[in-house]
Amino acid sequence: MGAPILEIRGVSKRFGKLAAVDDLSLSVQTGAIFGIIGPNGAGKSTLFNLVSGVSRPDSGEILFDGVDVAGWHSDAIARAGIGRTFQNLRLFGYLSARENVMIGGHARLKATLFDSLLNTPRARREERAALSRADELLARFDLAADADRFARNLPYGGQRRLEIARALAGQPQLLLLDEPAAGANAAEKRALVDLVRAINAAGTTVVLIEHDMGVVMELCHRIAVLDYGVKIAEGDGAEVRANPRVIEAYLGTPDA
Amino acid sequence: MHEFLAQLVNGISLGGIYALIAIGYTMVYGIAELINFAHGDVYTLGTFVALAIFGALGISGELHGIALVVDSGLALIGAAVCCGLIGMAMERLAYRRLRNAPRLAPLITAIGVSFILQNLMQLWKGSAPIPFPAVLPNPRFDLGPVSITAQQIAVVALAVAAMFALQIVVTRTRTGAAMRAVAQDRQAASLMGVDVDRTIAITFLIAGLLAGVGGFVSGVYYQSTWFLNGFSAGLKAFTAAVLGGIGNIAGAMLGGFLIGIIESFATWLIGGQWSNVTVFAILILVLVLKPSGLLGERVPEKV
Repeated sequence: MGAPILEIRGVSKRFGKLAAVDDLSLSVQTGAIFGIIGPNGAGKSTLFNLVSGVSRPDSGEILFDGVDVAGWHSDAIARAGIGRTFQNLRLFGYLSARENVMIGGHARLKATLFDSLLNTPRARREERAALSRADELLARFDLAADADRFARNLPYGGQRRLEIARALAGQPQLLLLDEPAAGANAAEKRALVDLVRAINAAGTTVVLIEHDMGVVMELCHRIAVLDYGVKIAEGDGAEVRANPRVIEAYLGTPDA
Repeated sequence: MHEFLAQLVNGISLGGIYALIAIGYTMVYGIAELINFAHGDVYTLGTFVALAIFGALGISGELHGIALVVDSGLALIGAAVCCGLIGMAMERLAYRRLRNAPRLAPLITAIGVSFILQNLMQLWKGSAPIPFPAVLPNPRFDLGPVSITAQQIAVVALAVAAMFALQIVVTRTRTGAAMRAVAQDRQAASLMGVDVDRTIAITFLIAGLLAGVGGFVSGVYYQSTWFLNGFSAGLKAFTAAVLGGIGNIAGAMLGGFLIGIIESFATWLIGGQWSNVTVFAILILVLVLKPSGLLGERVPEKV
C-alpha cells in the first residue's frame, strides 16, 4: 500500500481541434505495474510525452512523488527519476550499445562541466562506475557480446532490449515502457514479461503501454483504458475485460 | 621534386590551421545545425589575445629555453581559453534563443555576430596589419630532399596534438558521448537526462578553444594579423569542413589539410592570385557534385 508515485490530475492536451488527452486523471501506486491500453490514437503515447516532458499539457497537473512536473524540461524530469522507452526505437544509432547505456546513466551524473573537461578524479570515478554499471546492464539484457557494436547494427530484438537497458541506466523510480512487445515473437514476449517483473521486483514502478493483451493481462496489477483521450475504464484485468465500454471500444475482440 | 615537397610541407602547415578552424564549424553544425559564420573571427581573436599576452609580458622577439615554453604556453592557453569563453558567450547570448527559429534567423545572426567581433577588433587594434613577435626560433632542418622549418613543425605538432585531444574527448568521455547523442537525436538525449543546453555550450567552448589554438599558431607562423584575418581563413576552413563532410570531425581534419595543400599548390602552379579562386571553386564543385563531402555524415565521430 504505497502512496501514488504518479498522479495525473485533469490533464488535457489538444493538437489543433483534436483533444489527444482530455481531462484525464489517473494515479499509479508506488511499486505497481500499471497498464495503459486503448485503440490506436487513444492518446496513450501523448500521455507518455506529457509525463516525460516531450510536450507540456494545456492544463492539469502531473504529480511525480508529490511534485508537479508538468511543463518541466525532459532532462530535468529524467533526472528527477522518470525513465522511458519509445514505441519507435529512438536509440543513438551511431553510438555503441555500451555508450547508449552510458548516456542513459547521464541522469545520475554528478560531475560538473569543470570536472569532465579537466578529467578530475571525481569525473574519472564516475566514468568508471558508469562503465561498470553499463556493462552489468548489458550483461543482464543479454547484450554483452554486442557492447561495442553501433546500436543501429543490432538485430531488432536487441535494439528493443537496449532501449530498456538505456532507460534503466538512469535508475528511474518510474519507468514508462511504450509498447515493449511490439514485433516480439512468443519467446521474446515470455522473456519480456520476466524482465519487467524483475525490474519491478527490484523496486521500479512500471507504466506500460501495450497492445498485446496477453502481456498486459499477465503483468499489470491495474489497467486503465483510454479511448479518444478519455479514460473509459480502470481496474484489474478481469474488471477491464468485463467492462462493456471497453468491449465496445475494441469492437468486442480484445486481440489476444 | 624539391619544390613539390616544399609546397607539400607548406600546404600541410597551412592545412593544420584550417583544420583547427574547420573542426569548430563542423562540430557546431553537427550539434546545433548552425553555420557559425562568426567562427573565423573567433580565430582572429585568438591571434589578438596571444599578441596582447606577449605584449603584457613585454616580449617582442625570439624566446629560448624555459621562457619559450612558459611564455608561449601562457599565450597559447590564454588565447584558447578566451576564444572558448567567447564561443560560449556567443551561443548563450545570440544563438540559444533562436534554436527553434527558422534556420535563416540564426544564420543571419551569425553574420551579425561576425560583424560585431570584427568591429570590436578593429576598434582594439586598428585597421592596419599588426606585426606578431617572432617568438619561435626558426632553424631549418634538412631532411633529405626537403627542408622543414621549426615553425612548420610547431604548427603541425600543435594542430595534431589539439585534434588528438579532441578525438579523445569526443570518443572516450561521457561528455563526448553526450555530444554525439545530442547530435543524433536531441530529444531522446534530453529524455535520458542529458542537459542539451549544457552540451551545446560545451561544443561551442571546444570549438572556440580549437580556434584559439589556431589563432595562436597562425600568429606564430605568419608573424602578422589584422582584424579581418579570419574572414578568408574562416571561409576556407568552412570549405574544408564541407569538403570533408559537414558535421564530421574526421572530415574537417582531412578537409583542412587538403585545402591547405591545394591552396599551396595553386599558389605555386597557377599563381598566388588564383589560390582563393581555386579553393572556392572546390567549394562549389563539392556542393554541386557531392554535398555530403568526402567522408559524408555516415561516420561515428559525427558531432
